[in-house]
Amino acid sequence: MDHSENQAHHAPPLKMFIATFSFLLVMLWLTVAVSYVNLGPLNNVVAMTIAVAKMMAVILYFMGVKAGSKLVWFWAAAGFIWFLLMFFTLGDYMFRPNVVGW
Amino acid sequence: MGVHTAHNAESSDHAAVSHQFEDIGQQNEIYIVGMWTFLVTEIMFFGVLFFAYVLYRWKFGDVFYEAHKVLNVRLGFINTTVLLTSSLFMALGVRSAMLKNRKMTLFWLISVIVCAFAFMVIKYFEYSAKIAAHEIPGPFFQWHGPGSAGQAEIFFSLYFAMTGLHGIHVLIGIITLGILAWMVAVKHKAVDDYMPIEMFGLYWHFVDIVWIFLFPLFYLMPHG
Amino acid sequence: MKEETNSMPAHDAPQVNYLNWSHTVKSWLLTGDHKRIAMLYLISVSAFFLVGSAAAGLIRLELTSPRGVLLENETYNKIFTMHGVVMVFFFLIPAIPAILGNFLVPLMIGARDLAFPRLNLLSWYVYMAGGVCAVIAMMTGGVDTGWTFYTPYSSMYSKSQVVWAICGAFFAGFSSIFTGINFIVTIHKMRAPGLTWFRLPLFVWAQYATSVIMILGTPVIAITLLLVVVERTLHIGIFDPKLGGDPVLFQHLFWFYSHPAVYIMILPSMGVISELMACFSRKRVFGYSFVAFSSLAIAALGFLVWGHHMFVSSQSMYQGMVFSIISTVVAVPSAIKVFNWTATMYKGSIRLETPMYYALGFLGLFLIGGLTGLYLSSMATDIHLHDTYFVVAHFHYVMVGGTIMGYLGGLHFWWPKMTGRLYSEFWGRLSAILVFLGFNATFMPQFVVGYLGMPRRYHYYYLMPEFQIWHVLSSFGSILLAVGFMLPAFYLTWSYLKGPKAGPNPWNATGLEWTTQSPPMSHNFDEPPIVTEEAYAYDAEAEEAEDIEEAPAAKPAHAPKPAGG
Repeated sequence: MDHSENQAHHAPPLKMFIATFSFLLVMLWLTVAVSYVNLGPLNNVVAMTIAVAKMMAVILYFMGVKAGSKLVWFWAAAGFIWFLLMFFTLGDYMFRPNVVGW
Repeated sequence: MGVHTAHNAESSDHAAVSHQFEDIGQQNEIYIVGMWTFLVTEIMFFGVLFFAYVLYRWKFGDVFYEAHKVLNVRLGFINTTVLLTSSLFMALGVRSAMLKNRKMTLFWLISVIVCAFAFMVIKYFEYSAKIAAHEIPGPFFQWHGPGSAGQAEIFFSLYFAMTGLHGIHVLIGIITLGILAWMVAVKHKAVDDYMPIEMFGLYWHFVDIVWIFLFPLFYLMPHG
Repeated sequence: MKEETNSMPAHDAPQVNYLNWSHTVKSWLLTGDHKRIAMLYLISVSAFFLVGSAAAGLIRLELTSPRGVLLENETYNKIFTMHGVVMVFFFLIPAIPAILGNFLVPLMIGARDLAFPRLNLLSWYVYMAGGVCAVIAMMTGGVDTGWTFYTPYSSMYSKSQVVWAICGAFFAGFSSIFTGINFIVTIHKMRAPGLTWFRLPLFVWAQYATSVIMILGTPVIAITLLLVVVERTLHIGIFDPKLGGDPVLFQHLFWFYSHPAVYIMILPSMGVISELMACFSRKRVFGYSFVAFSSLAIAALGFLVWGHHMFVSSQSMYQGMVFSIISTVVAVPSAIKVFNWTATMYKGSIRLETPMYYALGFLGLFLIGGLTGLYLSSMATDIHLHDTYFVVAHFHYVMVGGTIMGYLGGLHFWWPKMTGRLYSEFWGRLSAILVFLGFNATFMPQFVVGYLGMPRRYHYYYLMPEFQIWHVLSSFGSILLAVGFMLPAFYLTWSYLKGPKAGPNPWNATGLEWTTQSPPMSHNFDEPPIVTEEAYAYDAEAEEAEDIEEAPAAKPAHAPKPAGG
C-alpha cells in the first residue's frame, strides 16, 4: 500500500491553522496601522509586501500547498507569474507621447 | 490514517473513485491540480482588473487618493476580519472532513456561511451608502471632492467592478456552501470523501486572497 | 450527420462501441464519454462553420461590385462581424481541441476518459449557450462592431446587439477554459504506464501547449468583454475616454488574449500535421523534442506579441518596437516546426493519401501565411499594410490555411477511428486539392489588392475601379473553396452511413489510439496499455512490415500505475 494519500492527506495539526490565522490578523492590524504613517512611496511597498505575506500564508497553509505535490506548486505559481506579464503593457503607457493626459 | 482502502485498477468500482481513475490517490491529486488550474484562470480573471487599477491609480493618483477617503475603513477592516475568519473556519472544515468528523464539518461549513453572509450584509450597507451619496458611476454620479469628476468616476467604476466581481464570487461561494452543507447533513455519498470540501476550500481561500489585496488597495491608499 | 446512430446497419456492427451502445437522445445529451462529446462538438462546430461560411459568401459576393450594390453599409458591417465572431469563437478555437483533441487525447495517452468528464460535457453546453447568444445577436439585428469589439464604439455608440454577441464570446471562452483545464490535468496525471513526456505523440504536446494558452489567456478576454458589457449597461466606465479612461487599454487587454488565441487555433493544427507527416512518411518526426518544445515556446512567446495589432493605435512607438522584435522571434519556433516536418519527409517513403494531401497543403499555406506575417510584424511595413486586405489575406492564410487544413487533415486521418468507416480516397483527394487551389485563388489576390491599398471592412471602392479584378478573382476562388469544403460534408456523411468498414488501424500508424477497435468502445481500452517505445516507431516497422500491430511485448504482472508527474 504505497498510496500517496497516506502521507499527503494527514490532517494538518490544529495549531498550524491557529498560528496562520493569528499571523493574518496581526498583519491586518499592521497594514492598517502603517497606512496612518506617511512613509511616502514606501507606503505602497509596505502595504503590498504585507498583502503578499498574507497571501503566501493563506496559500501555503490554508490551501495546503506547502504539503502539496510539485505539480500543485507549479500551477499555483503559474497564475501569479503570468499575471505579472500583464504589466508588460505599462511599457506602452510609460513611453506614450503625451496626448491630452495620456 | 486508514480511511482509504487499497485500490487497484481492477477494483476501481469503489463509490468514491470515478471510472476513469486508477485509484483514490490519483483521483485526489487530479482534483487538487484541476482546482488549481481553475484558480489560475481566476487569477487572470481578476488580474485584468488589478492591472487596470494599477494603471489608473498611477495615472490619476491624486484624484484616487481623494476618492478613496469616501470609503469606510472601519467597515472594510471588519469585513477583512470576517473574511479571514471565514477562511480559518473553512480550513478547519476541511480538516474535520479529512478526519471524517461529519458533525464538526457541518458546524464549520455553517460557520463559513454565517461569515460570508455577514460579509455580504456589510457590503450591502457600504454599497447603499455609496449609491445614496451619488458615488455610483453612471448618469447619477456626482463628485464634490477636489479633482476631476471623470477620474473619480473611474475610481468608483473600478471599486464597483472589483468589489462587485469579488462579491459575486462570495455569493457563488455561499450557494455552493449551502449545497455542500446540505450534502454533508444528509450524508450524501458524494461527500463521503473530503475532496469536494477541500476543492471548495481552495476556491474560498482564493476569494479571501482577492480581498486581502482589495482591502489595502482601495481602503488604505497612501497619499500621492 | 445525425446525433442518433440508428442508421448503423446491424449486421456489420457486432462489436459494441461508443456510438452504438445506446441510441437514446439522453445517452448522448448526458454523456460523459469524451468521444461522444467530441461528436457533439463535431456536429455543432460544423453547423457554425456553415453559418460563418454563408456570411463569408455574402461578403465575397458583395465585393465583386465596387459600388456595393447588394448590401447596405450597416448590413455589410454586420455580415463581416458575424463572419468574424462565428468563425473565431465558434469554429476556429474549438475546432481541433474540442473535436479531435477531445476524441484523441485520452486515446493517445491510454486513459479511459478525460479527468473531468462532466466538466467536459458542461463545456459543450456552455459552448451551445454561447452559440445561442450569438444566434440571438444575429436574429435581433446583428452586431456591427467587428469581431474585435473595439471601444469606445462597442461600449458607447453602437446601436447593435453588442451585449448578446459578447455573451456569446464570453460563454465560448468559458467552454474553452473548461476544455483546457481538462486537457492539462489529463495529460499531466493520466498517461499510461511507460508513456513518459518524451514518448507522447506530438499532437498531445500541441494540445497541452494550447490548453496552457486557453487557461492563461481566455479569462482575460472574458473579463475584458464583461467590462464592455457593464460599461454599456451599468456605465461602469473603465475604457470611457469621456472620463479620462483609455480605450486603447481595451485593445491591450483584448489582444492579450486574442493574439494567443491565434496560437490556440494553429498549435493543435501543427500537432495534427506532426502526426500526419510521421505516419505518411513512415518516419519518426525529425527532431521530436524540438517540435515538442517549439509548441511550448510558441505558447509562451505568443503572449508577448499582442502589441503588433496596435502599431497604429497610439501605442507608444518604443513599446511597438519591443513588440515588433518579439513578434519576429515567434517565427523561429514556427520555422523549426516547418523545417522539421520537411526533414521528416526527406527520404521517407511518402504515401500520398488524403490526410497527407492536406498536410502538404498546410505546409504551403502556412509558409506563405507565416512569411507574410513577418511583413506585418515589422513596424515600418505594417504602417503601410495595417488594416488592409494584406492583413486579411495574411491571417486567413494562417488561420484558415493553417487551422482548417490541419483540422480537415486530422478529421480525414482519424475519421476511420471515429466512425469505424472508410471514405472514398478519390473524393478525399479531390476535396483536398480543391481546398488548396480555391484557398490560394481566394486569398492570393487579397495580398495584392491589400498591398495596393484596399482597406479591410470596406465595401465601396468605386474610386479605385482597378481593384475590382482582384476582388472578382478572389470571389471566384471562394466558390472553389466552398465546393472544396462542401465535398467532405457529403462523402464523409456517406462514409459514416455506408462506407466500408475500417480496421483498427487502416493507415498502419503507430500510437495508442490505433491499438483499439474502430470505433473504440466506451472505456477505450480493455486493459490499460503499457508503452515501451517512443512515439512514431516507424523506422523499426520498415524492416518487419508484417507485424506492425503487435501488442507491446512486456506485460508486467502487477497492476499498472499511472505514470504521474
